[in-house]
Amino acid sequence: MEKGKQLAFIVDGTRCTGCKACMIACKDKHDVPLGVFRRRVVECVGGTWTQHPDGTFTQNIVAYYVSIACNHCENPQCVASCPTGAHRKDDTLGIVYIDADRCVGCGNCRWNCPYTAPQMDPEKKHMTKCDFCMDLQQAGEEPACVRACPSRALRVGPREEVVRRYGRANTAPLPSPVLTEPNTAIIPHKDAFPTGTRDVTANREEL
Amino acid sequence: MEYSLVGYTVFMQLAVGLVCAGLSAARNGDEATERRFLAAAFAAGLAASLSSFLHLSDVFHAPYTVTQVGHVWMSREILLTGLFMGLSALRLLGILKSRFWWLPALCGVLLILAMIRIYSGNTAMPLWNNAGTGLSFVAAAGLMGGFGGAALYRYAETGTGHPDGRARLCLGIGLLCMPFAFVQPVFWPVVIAGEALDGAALACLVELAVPLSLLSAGATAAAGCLATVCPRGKIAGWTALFLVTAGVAAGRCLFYAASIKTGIQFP
Repeated sequence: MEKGKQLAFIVDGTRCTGCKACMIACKDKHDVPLGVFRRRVVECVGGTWTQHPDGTFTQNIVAYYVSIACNHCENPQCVASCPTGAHRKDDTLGIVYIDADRCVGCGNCRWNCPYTAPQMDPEKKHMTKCDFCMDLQQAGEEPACVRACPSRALRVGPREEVVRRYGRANTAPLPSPVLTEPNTAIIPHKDAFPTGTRDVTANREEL
Repeated sequence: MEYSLVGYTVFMQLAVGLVCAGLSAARNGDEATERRFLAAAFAAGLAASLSSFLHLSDVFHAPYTVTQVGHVWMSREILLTGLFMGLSALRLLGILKSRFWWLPALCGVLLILAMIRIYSGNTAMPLWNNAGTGLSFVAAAGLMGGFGGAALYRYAETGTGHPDGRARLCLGIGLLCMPFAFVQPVFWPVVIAGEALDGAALACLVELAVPLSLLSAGATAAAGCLATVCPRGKIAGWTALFLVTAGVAAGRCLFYAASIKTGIQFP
């Protein structure tokens, strides 16, 4: 991986099996406590079945997975709304990170982030979120979640190239990318619902 | 549920409403009545401030919250809260000269505007991100300030046993604001229709019944405040203020819960 370049996540919905290895690798790498998730895998479901007059059934059931963390947006609302200046966007790598020494834990970032990426760490008593494994990036290595993905569904690439090739994440259950311009691209599953489709999340309690 | 935020919002709206309601006494040089208003507002503001501290995880980092006043509305709100409380205290103690009687009220109005901007500027929350937020926040301050003002003017009057014009005016403003105090125009179609579609309309109506009943009881007590002679009128005035404040708080809790449900699209 090339050092010093701004990166973007690529989530390949055609490859993701929903194994959640990325979630666990992230928790392991950053020692994230129980109930807090820097990366989440959303199980999306939809469709129904229809009974025909002849007694037969047809269905259009859909299931796919979306692995999502902080998207290190171009227009991060967490940075714009943080009253202490704890949320910052790194000029060089474009990483949005939290300065724990300034965070007051008010949660305004969480309210304003349409991806609810920042979460309260009750042990450290400040907000926490994905920092794109800044330390690994500076060493020229890939983030822990990317390294852990067994099907290579989760990847990183140069930001401009990723956005030009795949656009920005616009698959349900994610909100419209217009809000914050996320630096995450999603290669959608063939049955994926478009952004704005509601109530597709099957594992809400787990997130 | 962010109860501490509900506490801060409701008590601070009450405090600002009280200071604004006391402007008539302040302008006319009735310092005894003005002090009562300022003392009540300061007590409400203190409750709001304590409630807001409960919301923070690390209070030692609180000084950083005023470092972003140049571009973050929450920083401005926190700064204005401090200014409002400070100016109210200075005026209460008589340190701030009487010709500046309007200064705490102006600061309070700016504080409400900053509060509105925090919520209405949140693009992730459709129920907040509209003009109805401003309407409901101003109306809540008008409702509680109006009822509080009526109770305090009723308390201040002597001799006649009947309320003077200021108490009536305050109650009128409060009643005018009541329908908009916590229910925004978008609330009904988005939340109630949504709940009805989910088959939870009954639960939603029961939840709504609590704040609406409290507000109705408050309005009834307010009528008693105007109708009865002292001291019952005074007691009715305080009862009305307590009931509407509880009604606004219950409504605000419901509104937060509905916003969470309909607002954040992910997860």
